[in-house]
Amino acid sequence: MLYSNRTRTIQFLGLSFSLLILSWLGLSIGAAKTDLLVPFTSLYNSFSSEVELSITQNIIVNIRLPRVLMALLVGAALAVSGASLQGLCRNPLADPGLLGISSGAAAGAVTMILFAKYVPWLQFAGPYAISLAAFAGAAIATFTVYSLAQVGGHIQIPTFLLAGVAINALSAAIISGLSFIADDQALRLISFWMMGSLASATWTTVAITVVVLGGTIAAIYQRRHALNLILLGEANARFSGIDVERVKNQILWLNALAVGVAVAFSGIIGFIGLVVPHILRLASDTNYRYLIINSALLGAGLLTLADLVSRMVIAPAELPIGILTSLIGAPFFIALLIQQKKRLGFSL
Amino acid sequence: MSLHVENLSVALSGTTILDDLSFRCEQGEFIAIVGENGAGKSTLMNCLAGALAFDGKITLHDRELHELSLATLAEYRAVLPQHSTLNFPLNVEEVVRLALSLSTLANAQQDTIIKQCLTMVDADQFAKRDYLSLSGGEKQRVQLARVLAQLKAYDKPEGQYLFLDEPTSALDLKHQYATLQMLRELCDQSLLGNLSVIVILHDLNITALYCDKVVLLNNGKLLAYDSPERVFQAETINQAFGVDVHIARHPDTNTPYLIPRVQS
Repeated sequence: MLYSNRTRTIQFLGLSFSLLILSWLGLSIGAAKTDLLVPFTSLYNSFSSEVELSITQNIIVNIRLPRVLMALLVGAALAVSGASLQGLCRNPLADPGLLGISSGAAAGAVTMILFAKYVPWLQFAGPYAISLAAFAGAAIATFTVYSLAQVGGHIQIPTFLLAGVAINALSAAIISGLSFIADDQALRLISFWMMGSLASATWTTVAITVVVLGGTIAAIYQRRHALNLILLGEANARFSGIDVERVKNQILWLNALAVGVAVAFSGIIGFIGLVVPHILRLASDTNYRYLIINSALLGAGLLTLADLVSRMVIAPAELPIGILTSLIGAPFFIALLIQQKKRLGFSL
Repeated sequence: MSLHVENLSVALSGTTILDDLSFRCEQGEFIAIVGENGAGKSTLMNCLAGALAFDGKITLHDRELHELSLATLAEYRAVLPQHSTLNFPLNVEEVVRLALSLSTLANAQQDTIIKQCLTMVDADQFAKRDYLSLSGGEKQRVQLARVLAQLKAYDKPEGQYLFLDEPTSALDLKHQYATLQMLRELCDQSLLGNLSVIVILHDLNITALYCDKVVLLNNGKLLAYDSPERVFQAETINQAFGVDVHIARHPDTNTPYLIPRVQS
């Protein structure tokens, strides 16, 4: 009965409902005190041009709303990315961090933080220079891992994972090296980047993110049947009519795009991509028809919750969100592993 | 309408794996590929399945194999490799349902096909269980149900093919015979339309009991292609396997029954 359609419907509705509640709380709670109804009046007023927004309403519409939307999108994208990579690698431990994309993006960002002031023309992108550098880092990391893993026209998944490990190590070395020579101000910015934050979300970044992350999630969902069949092994997927090499290529680049953009606007946020698909698999199964949608919902919910907590614990200051996701994610993941070992009688 | 193999050769990194094979499989035939380890059986099956580049010509219903897309191939033939691994939790029914991922059948039709196929391999009693909790033989039967479902999803009156690489390797005695009997009946009664089965087997006595023809490979060459009655001669078996055998008769069917000679 674990996998019945009724369970699935309940799961879907439960996740959607919690997401709505969390988003509402995300709009209502923050350093500026507001009550739970204020988001409603603020949103209403922002759509009617006659009424001038109050300061509180302004905070909600122009600061909290973009931030909540960013949390929803980045959380959903990271979770879907993890789910698709785990299927592609047929390895439950795969996640965007493993690819080296996240660390590549961070290395790009850190390089820009340190050297932008010495190279005036790098300032052309203004506030987006660091984001652009992060995205470039993500692209370079993906391309390198991808080229290394290609053997005779095929992407070798074991080589792919090893190449990810190598890129991670290299990026870590670059980041440590640059942190070593950085001054105090740059160091603060670097650590801020490495620990992730949604504080810089604006309507512009949200607009870019909606298009890119929304698009990649939809494109990955479109490939749900292929991901399902790849669970049986690449040979079986091919025999079942799937052009496995093409799908692998597409999924990898979609992931690079999604994670690159997510890191570019919110820094490194760990564990969402790894843990979310796992929670869902424990609750039901691995069918990608449901796993992708539910991952998006749960990932969005978890990051919104983490963001909410990060704003509440030491208010009015904020705790970096990456610390929270890892702090909650790591013990949770260990608990999952223990439970899985018990359930299957062997370790994966 | 059939599967034709003409002058099929395969060389991998300079080594000849298959050397100039020619044979044909007609509608409704049940053919076994036999031969010693490394004779090229799995390579031959991969070629027939369209998963490996080769020299020569293979035609399926008068169309060359490489002209057919992966999706079209999947409608005409299903393949069960020797090993199928699954690392994630899925229940048995869902595993079989994967075969129907690309079909446009309604859910009710899918459920019927899944039930039928699980019943055919005697696995319907654990349809709701987690696949990962099954034994090796049970998993093998579920995978067989999956490839049967793939063929059932498409209506192809011109004929479909089932390629199986050692489908009985993990099965107990009862299910070995039950599986071969089921495949035999599929070929005879055309429960799936016009089905032909090509199967890699190691048990020559089971081969003699159930199969119409035997493809006997030796070092990548086609040593014999004929009925088990004609292929299973002491001399041929010695040539292919290097084993001396008595050719006895099965008491019920009078088919050849091979008994290895023992030095006393």
